[in-house]
Amino acid sequence: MVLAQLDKILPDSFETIFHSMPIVHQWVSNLKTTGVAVFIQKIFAEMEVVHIMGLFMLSASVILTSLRLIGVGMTNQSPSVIEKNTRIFLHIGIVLAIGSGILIGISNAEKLYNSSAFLMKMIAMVAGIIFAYAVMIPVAKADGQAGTSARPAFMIALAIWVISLVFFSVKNGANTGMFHVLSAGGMIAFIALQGKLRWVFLAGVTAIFVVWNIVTHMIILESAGLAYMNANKLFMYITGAWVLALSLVNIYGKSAVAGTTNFGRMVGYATILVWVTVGAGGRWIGLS
Amino acid sequence: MLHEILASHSVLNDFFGYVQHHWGEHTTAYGRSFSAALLEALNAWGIVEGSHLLFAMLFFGCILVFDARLLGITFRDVKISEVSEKLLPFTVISMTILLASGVFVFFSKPQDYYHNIWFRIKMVLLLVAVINVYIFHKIVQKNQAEWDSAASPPTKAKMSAVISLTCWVLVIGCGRLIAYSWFECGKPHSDWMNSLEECQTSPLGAMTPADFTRQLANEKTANDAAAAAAATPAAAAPAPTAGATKPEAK
Repeated sequence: MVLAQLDKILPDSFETIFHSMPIVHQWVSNLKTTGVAVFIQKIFAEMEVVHIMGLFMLSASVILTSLRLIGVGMTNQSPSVIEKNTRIFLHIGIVLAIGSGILIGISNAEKLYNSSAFLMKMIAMVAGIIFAYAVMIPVAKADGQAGTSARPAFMIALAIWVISLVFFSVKNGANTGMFHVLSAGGMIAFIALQGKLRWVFLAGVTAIFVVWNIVTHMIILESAGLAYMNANKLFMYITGAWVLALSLVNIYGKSAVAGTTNFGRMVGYATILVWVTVGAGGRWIGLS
Repeated sequence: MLHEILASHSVLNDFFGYVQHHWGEHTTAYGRSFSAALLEALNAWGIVEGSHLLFAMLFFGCILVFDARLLGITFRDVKISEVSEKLLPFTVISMTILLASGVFVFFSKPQDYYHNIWFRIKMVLLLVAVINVYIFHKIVQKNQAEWDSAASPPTKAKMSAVISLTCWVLVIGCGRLIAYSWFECGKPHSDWMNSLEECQTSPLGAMTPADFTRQLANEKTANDAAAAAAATPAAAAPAPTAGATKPEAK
């Protein structure tokens, strides 16, 4: 019920946001006739490869630095050492991904203007950039300690990311992409949790998946339409709640690894997941 | 005769064709094959394809950092064995999920992928990357203890890193280009491209530019003949028969 209301309240795309300003739609429509757009359309596939390579490169920095903040991965080195050595990949990756993304966007503007997944991706990307540059890097440089600007930046980025997740969750056609965010969160929690908690977490996830499949393959079938979609969404939220709960246990638990703090672990989880949201959003532009 | 049969027949093409179009058609809803059902599934396809992409990010991230260390670009103060040891679990997990999801992606359109030139190049590059890993472990790493802490490892290690990075960048590129149908069988291509893709055995067939020109000429001749026939009413329209009624005006 709440989801249905949210779906109605939230804009579907940039087109919905700027609906009362036809001049914006006109400008977007005209973009495809510009010289840049015509040129990019000829090398669209190559540009997509550059875009993906950019995302892959920045993921090297984001994943390794964030995992170290959580307390896993290259734990023999301090977070500041990991950050210093992988920062170059973040810079190059961001330049490649955003540069090629703008060019792809110009050549394909009308489709993106009407896409829910694109709107969600853009919101998540703003959060991702704030997380990477204003939160992850300063916190890693301080070996897990929060500086004066990191906490407010974290709150702002978190708020923006949550907005993007709400979009991702309620918009039909894109909401299945949330699976990637949940599975990435689950995988981080599984790696980061220690001892019995790790297996409790896995048992919980397995139980949810078994019940989920029984319900959506034997009780509420695909032919049920809206009821089937709602059942899927419900189980998605249950999985999300389980992953979040165990992640919080991990974040606020004790860690024997040097250079990890509660705040640092939270930053680590959030920074990886926000970029997974960006990647998943990008993929669902094509699929939705 | 035997040569012609062999040229137009491929066991793998037939097998993948069966899998793509017929396997499971009596089991699934709407008479679809399992492959078609996967491709059209509400959630499963996006999850499989998305997982393939996202775990490729993790995998490439690990490879990039390790190869950058071998090249002496990053972690110059850290032992190579330490970087390798710490990244290995993530590399193995992501590679396992990549392979599993990759099998499902291939299963969705096995016959199409089998004839796709980018898919074929990707498979060759994967093989080269695997051979490179094998050579690295068997030959390059033999005396690693001597250069494990070196900020700039020896040339053979750097060569291995360059080959690895080149292969994986090209694998990712080819993976994205598979979606494009520029070189699809049935379109006019050079003989060597038709051979590389085994288009002769594909359901779409092999076509050269000369075949295409000939086909266009034949179509033009047929169209001209049809137009000429239409221009002569006596020949085109049958003579009215007795008792024929005029169509009613609407």
